[in-house]
Amino acid sequence: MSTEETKTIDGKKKKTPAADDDAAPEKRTRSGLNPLRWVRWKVVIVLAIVFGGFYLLGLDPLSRWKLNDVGAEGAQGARWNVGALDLGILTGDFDFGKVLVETARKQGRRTEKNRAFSADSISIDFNANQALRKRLWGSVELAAPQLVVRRSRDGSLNVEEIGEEPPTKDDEISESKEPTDWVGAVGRWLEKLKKWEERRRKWMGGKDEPSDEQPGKKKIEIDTKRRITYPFEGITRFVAEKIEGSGLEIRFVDEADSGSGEIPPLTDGRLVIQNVSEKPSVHPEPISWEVSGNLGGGTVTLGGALDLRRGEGDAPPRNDLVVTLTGTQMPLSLANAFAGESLPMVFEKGTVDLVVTMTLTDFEQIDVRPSMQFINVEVSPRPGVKKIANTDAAVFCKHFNEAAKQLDKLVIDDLRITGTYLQPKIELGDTLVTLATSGARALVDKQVEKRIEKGKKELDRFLEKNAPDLKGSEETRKVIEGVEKTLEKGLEGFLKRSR
Amino acid sequence: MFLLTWIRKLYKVLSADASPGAIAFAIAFGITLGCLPLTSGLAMLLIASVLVFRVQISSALLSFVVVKACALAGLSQLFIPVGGWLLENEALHGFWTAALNWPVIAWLDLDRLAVTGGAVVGAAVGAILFGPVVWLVVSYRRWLHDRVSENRFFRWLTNFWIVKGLRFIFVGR
Repeated sequence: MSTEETKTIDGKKKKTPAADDDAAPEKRTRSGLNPLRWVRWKVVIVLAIVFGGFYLLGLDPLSRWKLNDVGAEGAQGARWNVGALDLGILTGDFDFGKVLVETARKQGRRTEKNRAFSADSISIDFNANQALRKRLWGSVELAAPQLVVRRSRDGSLNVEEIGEEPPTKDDEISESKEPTDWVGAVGRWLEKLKKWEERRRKWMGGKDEPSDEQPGKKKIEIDTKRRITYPFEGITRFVAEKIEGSGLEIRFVDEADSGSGEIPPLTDGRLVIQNVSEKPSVHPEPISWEVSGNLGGGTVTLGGALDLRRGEGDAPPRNDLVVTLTGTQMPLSLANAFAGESLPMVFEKGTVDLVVTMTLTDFEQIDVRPSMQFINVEVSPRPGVKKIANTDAAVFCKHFNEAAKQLDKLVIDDLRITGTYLQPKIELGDTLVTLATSGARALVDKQVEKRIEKGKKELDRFLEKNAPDLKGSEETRKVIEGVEKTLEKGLEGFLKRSR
Repeated sequence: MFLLTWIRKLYKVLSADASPGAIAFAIAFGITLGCLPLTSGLAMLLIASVLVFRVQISSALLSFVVVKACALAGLSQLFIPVGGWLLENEALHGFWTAALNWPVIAWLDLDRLAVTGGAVVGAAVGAILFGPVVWLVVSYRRWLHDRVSENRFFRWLTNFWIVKGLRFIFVGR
């Protein structure tokens, strides 16, 4: 123990224990230039033991208990059950800010049946650089995520409620309680998304307001919470930079069971969602996602981007949702199950390769441009439907089936849907109109002509690109052009004879 | 008991050879802390610094209590206007936008008017009092303590039991 020389009030000099180390004169003299002696190491050790002990013994279980407590009530709009939690701040690999959440499912414990979302584990890797700036940015990795999309009897989807407070009377959508198919349910969900976006903008507008000051009213107690907001206006505090999951499974549960068939689950899927933030209007990147997997024997990819960023200067904010659906070898029975009564016809058999691009502006104006290649397709009119494309439904289906038989692939890429999602305006392209008015043969002609035109363009491109490699002299070029012309004539002649 | 221990420590600090500058620095620390809302990041950083670094805890605690009382009595009325003048000043918007997003600084809650105002007022008062405190400590040691301790009347007075008792209670020896 250090001692110090103290002169007492009665004039005696005494060596006494130091009041605290910093008061010891000799030590102070020595420690003055040594920064290591500026620190109370005993305090540091005690604090390290207290906090370390709390971390090692209490933090993980306490956090898990608190998380489950919140999750059990469902007050946040969703219920969850965390099996184990590892905050990992002091893990062996010094992976700062990595949190691993093992769910009850992973631990084999009984969980609620048909839970909307579950995963074996959730690993969150916080961005330490952003954490030092008081921002919670991170990447989330999901192991074997499972999503259950349930359509209830009134046609609503369970994913509507995720992350929402329990609905109030004002939130109810007046005309939303009639049963709909999956397409209608998605439309209703979009409507809810629009309302949510309006609410979010309103909330963000009000939140940044400084607290009201009452001029002239003097009070001793000051508003210590009053703060400025402008330094953080262009900053997002909470960002999931990347949410990634492999082994994704999406199950579709139809409680309404409209008789349109059961939808098989999406399996072996992969999910990537990027740039989900609490302030998408100021985050530099738009929200984007991609979900892919096997669905009913085909492969499907659903990608998209939601751009809610503010425009430059005084320009209005963008509210653009772009969704691209790509499917190969998709069984057409899926269309019956998904679209149900939204389709005027029933697909009896066949597959489709499709690329659908949908743009939704301001959560209202839609622009859908599908490109579909039907293979071995057969349709029949939906009971009760009299006309399709201004043609008798039975005749249309007959022509359609005839055309499908004549062609390897029936290509429809001139269909366009515009208007609003509540009142879509369908523009039938040349293909469907020809099919409906001139019959299958005319359609076949049209399709074949399209193919020949496409083939010519491809050949031109090929020649232009590869002629120099063939050491293309003028003569060689003439020979190739001759072959090209002969092929064209031969093909045209063959097609004419086959009519 | 805590109060007595504290008074004893203060006496020791003043009587021992602790540097007057260190005492003045600790008092400035305590004054700044007293001007801050204790829930702010900056206050927590100062508390941690007082604990971890060899700052005179007793002097800092004394000045903290005194300034906290002053703040409750009305000194805090200065914090918001000063903080507002600094933070809402358009000329400084660029600086604050950058500074308040720096790593670590972002956690100090300097965006709160009361914190920035309190820190500036506290630091200013601490800086103003630094010189006088050094002078007071030096004066106490050079003049009052030494002269009183060598005064015959006081030596005689300390022979009484009642004075010895009081000295034991307040000074500890």
